[in-house]
Amino acid sequence: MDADYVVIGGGVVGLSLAWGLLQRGKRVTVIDGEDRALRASRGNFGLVWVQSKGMSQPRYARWSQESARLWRGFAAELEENTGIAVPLEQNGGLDLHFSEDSLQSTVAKYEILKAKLNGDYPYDVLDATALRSIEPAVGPAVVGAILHHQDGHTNSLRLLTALTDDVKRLGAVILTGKRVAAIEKTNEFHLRMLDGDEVRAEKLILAAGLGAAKLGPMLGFRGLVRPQRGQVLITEKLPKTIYRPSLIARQVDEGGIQIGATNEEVGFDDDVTPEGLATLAAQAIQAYPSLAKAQLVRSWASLRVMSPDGLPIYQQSRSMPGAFLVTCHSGITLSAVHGRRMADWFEGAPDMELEVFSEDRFPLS
Amino acid sequence: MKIDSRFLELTPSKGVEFDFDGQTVCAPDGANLAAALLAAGVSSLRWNAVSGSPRGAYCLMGACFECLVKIDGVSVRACQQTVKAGMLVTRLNHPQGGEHVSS
Amino acid sequence: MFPADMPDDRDVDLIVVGAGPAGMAAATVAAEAGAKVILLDEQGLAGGQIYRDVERVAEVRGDLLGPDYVAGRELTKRLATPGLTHIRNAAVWMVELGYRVTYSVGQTSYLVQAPHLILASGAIERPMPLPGWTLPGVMTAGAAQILIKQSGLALKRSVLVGSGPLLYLVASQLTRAGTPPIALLETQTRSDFLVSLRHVVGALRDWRYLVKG
Repeated sequence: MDADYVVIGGGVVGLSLAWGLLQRGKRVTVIDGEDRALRASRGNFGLVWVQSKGMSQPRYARWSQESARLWRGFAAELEENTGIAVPLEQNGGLDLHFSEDSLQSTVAKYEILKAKLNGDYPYDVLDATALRSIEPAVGPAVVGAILHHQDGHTNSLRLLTALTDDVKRLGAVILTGKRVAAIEKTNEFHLRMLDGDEVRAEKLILAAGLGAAKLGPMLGFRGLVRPQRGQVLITEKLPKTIYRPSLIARQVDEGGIQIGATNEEVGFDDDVTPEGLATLAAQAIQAYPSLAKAQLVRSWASLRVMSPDGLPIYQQSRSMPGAFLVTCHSGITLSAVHGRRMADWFEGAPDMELEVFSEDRFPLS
Repeated sequence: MKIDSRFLELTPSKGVEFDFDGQTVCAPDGANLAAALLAAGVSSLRWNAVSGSPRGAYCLMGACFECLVKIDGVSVRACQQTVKAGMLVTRLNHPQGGEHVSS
Repeated sequence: MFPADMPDDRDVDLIVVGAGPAGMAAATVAAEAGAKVILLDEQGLAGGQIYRDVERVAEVRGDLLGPDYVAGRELTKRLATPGLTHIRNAAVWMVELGYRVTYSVGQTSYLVQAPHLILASGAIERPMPLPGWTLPGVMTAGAAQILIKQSGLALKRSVLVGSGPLLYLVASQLTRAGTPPIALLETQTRSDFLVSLRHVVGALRDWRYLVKG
């Protein structure tokens, strides 16, 4: 046996899970794909986000809140171990609204969720005046916003770098450029790669994003993930213009403003389109009129890993016990709780209350 | 046209005036802006947004984006602009002007 | 979303990106053969780098820059061929299969579509990063050439560093202008020279280029 755990997928989810297991003294091998793999970990918006999650499943809201609380300590420990700063701002996040109706209907939903969370859902409803006093760049088309105090954002690329460094430092074996060809289970999991390499481990974690659709069934999972495209724009570095992230735009630590994102069902197409980018730009200018003068330096599209209801999937295989599926589209937000708590779940800790995230919740076709 | 002593002007011509960051600069109408600024002795066009280091024109062909200046509130490559009488050009990321992005 | 006043693209056969020598030649030959061609160029004047601003500059500084440069004037004149639309100051920023090209002129974006596409956007200099290379006043050899060609400015006290023919061309142009460089620091080593000797036969066969140099 090469390892206690083999983790298929070296993105933010796989690395966070590996990190937690390594901290427990487990031997871990991480298998990652090639440069041309889809790599949602590099294409995202970097939000550490609580609001709007779990509106129909409060457990997901609480899970996101737990991760948001753990994030600062998690980032600090990564920085202390690796010397790589993972910038984190948690001064709240804005949901901007262009009509009173949409604002009030969202508030109504938040109130219902807040009650289910025993009041632990700290947010303010800001009218145009209050909003502009904290976010002066917001334009007249925005009638108001919800400011949720548990929201924030980070730099995903630095998170990935720090996680990779620390996972290596903790003794993980990382194999890159690999494609899993076959998986067998006897008293251990035996993986064979397309290039002939082999890995054996007592337990296996599938954290391969959209790869779960193909690899999942090999392990007894349903693997119900589908791609959803998000196009994104990045501006030149600008003086501080936007103080809190919103779903429309945020200003990253080095000064560029990231504008996003579309929500398109186009299969595995991760190209940008002029129409998509034009729509993003138009909406950004509606929300923040001064962006009309900003030069754009980069655009890209990335594919979100979406389950049928948008919530994470945490599942142990019934046909191959010891194999676990972990997938979500909020890998950045959940990185801290994945790193700090999921090792307990893999090791069989009871009462983690993660049953709501099992594949059983999806109707059988 | 006032030419900085670092340059020899091969075909002298009449000039127009424009403003660069509060400094009056003389250059032929329609001249290349980056060249006109160089000729006037201005070699630092902006400060780098992250490090604060001074930067100037490097390739002069539009490929490197080092010669960015601000005209009418928009960042543009000076080497892709032509001089017009009365144009207002400013530097980017003044360290004193509160414009510098701090991390 | 995109302006309506873009070139009528229902009949465009060919889009050419770049109005340097290759792009100009391709666009002209196609248009002379009857194709409807759109030529997109980022600069205000055609010519690319080697014939930079030749339409305007050939009369003014032609003798300094030499007959090879002035010859570019013929190419730019032929851009007037019917069926060829030359769009200046157009920055192409997206190309999709099909082909659909998105470009910007000033602050406005445009779309143009054609079944054929030629990319002739040319080359850029490969920079040589050294400590201090970002200091204002450090420029590429091509930049020095552009200053002479486009703006008639010759650097008075320059130091040239590197290797290759462009550096010597710049040195000779500065010298002819009356402002020779203070120094030329050649970075090619003797072993580099020896390695390149295996090409000497080919070089001698092309003796006309050698004589030009």
